[in-house]
Amino acid sequence: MKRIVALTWKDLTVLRREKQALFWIFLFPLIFALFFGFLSGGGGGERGKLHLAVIDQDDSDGSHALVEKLSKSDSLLIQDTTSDGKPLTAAMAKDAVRKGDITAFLVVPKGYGQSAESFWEEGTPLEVGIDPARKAESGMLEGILMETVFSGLQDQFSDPKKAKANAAKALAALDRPNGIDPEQKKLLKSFLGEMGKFMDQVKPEGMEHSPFAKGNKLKKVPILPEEDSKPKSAFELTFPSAVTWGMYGCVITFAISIVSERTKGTLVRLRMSPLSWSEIIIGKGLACFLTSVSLAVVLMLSGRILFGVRVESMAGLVLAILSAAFCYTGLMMALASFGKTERAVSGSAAGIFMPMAMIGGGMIPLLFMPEWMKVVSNISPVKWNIQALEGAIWRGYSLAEMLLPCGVLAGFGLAGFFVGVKFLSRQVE
Amino acid sequence: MIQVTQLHKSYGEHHAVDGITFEIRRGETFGLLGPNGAGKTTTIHLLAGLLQADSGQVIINGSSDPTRQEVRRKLGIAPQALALYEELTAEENVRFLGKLYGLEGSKLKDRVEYSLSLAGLADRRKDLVSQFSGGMKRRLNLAAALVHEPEVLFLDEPTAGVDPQSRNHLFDNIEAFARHGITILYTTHYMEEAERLCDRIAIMDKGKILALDDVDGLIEKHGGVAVIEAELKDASPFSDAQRSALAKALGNDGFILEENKLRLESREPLEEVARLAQAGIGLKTLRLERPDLETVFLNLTGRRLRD
Repeated sequence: MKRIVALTWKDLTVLRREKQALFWIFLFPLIFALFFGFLSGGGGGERGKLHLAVIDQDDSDGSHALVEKLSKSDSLLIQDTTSDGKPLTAAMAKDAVRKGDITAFLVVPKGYGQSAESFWEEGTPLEVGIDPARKAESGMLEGILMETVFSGLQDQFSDPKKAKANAAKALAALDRPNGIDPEQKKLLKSFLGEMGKFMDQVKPEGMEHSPFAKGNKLKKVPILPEEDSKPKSAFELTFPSAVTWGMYGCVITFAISIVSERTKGTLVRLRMSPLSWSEIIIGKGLACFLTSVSLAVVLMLSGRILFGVRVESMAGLVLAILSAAFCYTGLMMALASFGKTERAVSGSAAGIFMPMAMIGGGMIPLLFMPEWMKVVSNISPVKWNIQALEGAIWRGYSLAEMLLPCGVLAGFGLAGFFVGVKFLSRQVE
Repeated sequence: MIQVTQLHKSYGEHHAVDGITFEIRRGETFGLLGPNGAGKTTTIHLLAGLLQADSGQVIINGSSDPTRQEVRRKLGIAPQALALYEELTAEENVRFLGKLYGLEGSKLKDRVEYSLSLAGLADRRKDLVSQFSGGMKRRLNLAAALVHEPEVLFLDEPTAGVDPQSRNHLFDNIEAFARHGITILYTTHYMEEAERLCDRIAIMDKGKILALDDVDGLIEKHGGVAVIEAELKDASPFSDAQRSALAKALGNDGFILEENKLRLESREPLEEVARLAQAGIGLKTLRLERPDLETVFLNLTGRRLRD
């Protein structure tokens, strides 16, 4: 055992002095987590929101209410002035969207407030312009606008005073020449008169049960066991991916170190020593395993300290890290047996891992991939690694649920060990 | 100490080692002399158990399995490649190898100290190997083979690519090992090294041992005759009588005399020169070309060592 420890310690000492390897194992994944974390909105900040310029040309109670409601949306970042505090014009907003500085603009045209309160006047349309490159956000913005406008309508009829005033306005408008059929006019007058009386008598709290207030609503069903069990920030998504990239760095570094032992002749010394071949393999693997575990701990700890990345299940996280480290150690062994030179191993690593990362969600989340790609992703250890880590961090996996991703990772590791040891032994002989 | 019998190792059609047989005595420095590709390194790897022979037998210290731990502990190797970790210091390299052989505590410390001192690197112990010159690396490569006090040392071209100063240092080291009773198998393609260091030498080419003996024995059996080339003082053309007198003085007429230039071949060149002096034949210049291991190799293979 002391000999294995000596070999492992030697490899770790060598690693400590290789600044380039340290960068790829520890620093690059951290940069990755930070970069994509901030890019995706960071800790719930404003970068993840849809940047919407609002030009209120109506300046009415109705338009003010609309803008206020939009401002309260979690998904929108509202801008109504230029950077030097001047009011935005429609032309300026359109130009900013064209240049890609903001995602969309909304013009609330003159007369919007009045038409919104009217029963039969054709509504003044809101003008919306969206960056053509942001198709995904286009649908989202339309949905938010429709919801906001409808919500304003609901407000009008949920408040008896507002509803009565609107009814009175409508009655007055009916008396003006408007081209409405006299029979229809009579019916409408009767309806609005009754509505006015109803609003006089009804208590405001009674309106909570009115048909207007009871419109169909969306009820959010909790997917995760606890109320706050969802990624609180983009960092809870990017740090698990970063661990994967760090472990990839470990795989390359240690696979190359095995090949270097062979090409530089130090393997001759190791094999001439009383170390058995299996002790050499274990010693090299142990160094990779320990480094993988260390980097995962360092990254998760950094995420925790710097960005409050949670750990829902510490036992699950330990299991996830250990199984991922085992998986990548096995893959490292297999990779070391694929090439006879450092360059060949490095090339093979990139050639194998990059597609694995691409289909496994290491670059683009699986969420955005077509269904067939999600099926294909099952062959990628990257997918299971991310799933295991997210399961422990925020998906609220039970230990039993952790067994699937962790078991698959262990399986990948075992297969890697089998292939690696077999072919390395053959090469050495 | 080491017995090798009918050892074979082939790679496809290529016979890297082709039925070699030899014995190395305890405490002996045994040389394998041959050009690149002769099979020297393969032989060392077969002896060390790093390669499996196709046939034949290797017995080291009574054991026919060099991969057994108790045998391995007695073997040390300085591979032809600089088998060192460049990112470690000299001391870390030697210490690591010592630990692999189970050394620890004061024993490990003493052996590391000894090995580094022997390599002349005690004052550079904390420096990274990557900062060393080629010669220093070679010395450390040798020192690393010694840390566990092996009884048998395999030195595979240990002076390849080093400066004359470092080479002399290495020679002194190897001679010191021999004085300490370490059995050494030394491979080289430099005949000067083999002549200086080795008690016995096997001339190897194309996987075969062509001849095996000590230096004198090899030269005597395979070196041929020495060549004497002299310029005589008397510049006048030699008469027949003078030629006869010269032949009488030398005891034979197997010489060439053109003008005043004499060339003759002999197995006793110094005696020939003495006879010339006794006959009163004055010499203006004298050049004596004795056979050496290069000549031996040339005579055995028809090629030079470094062809």
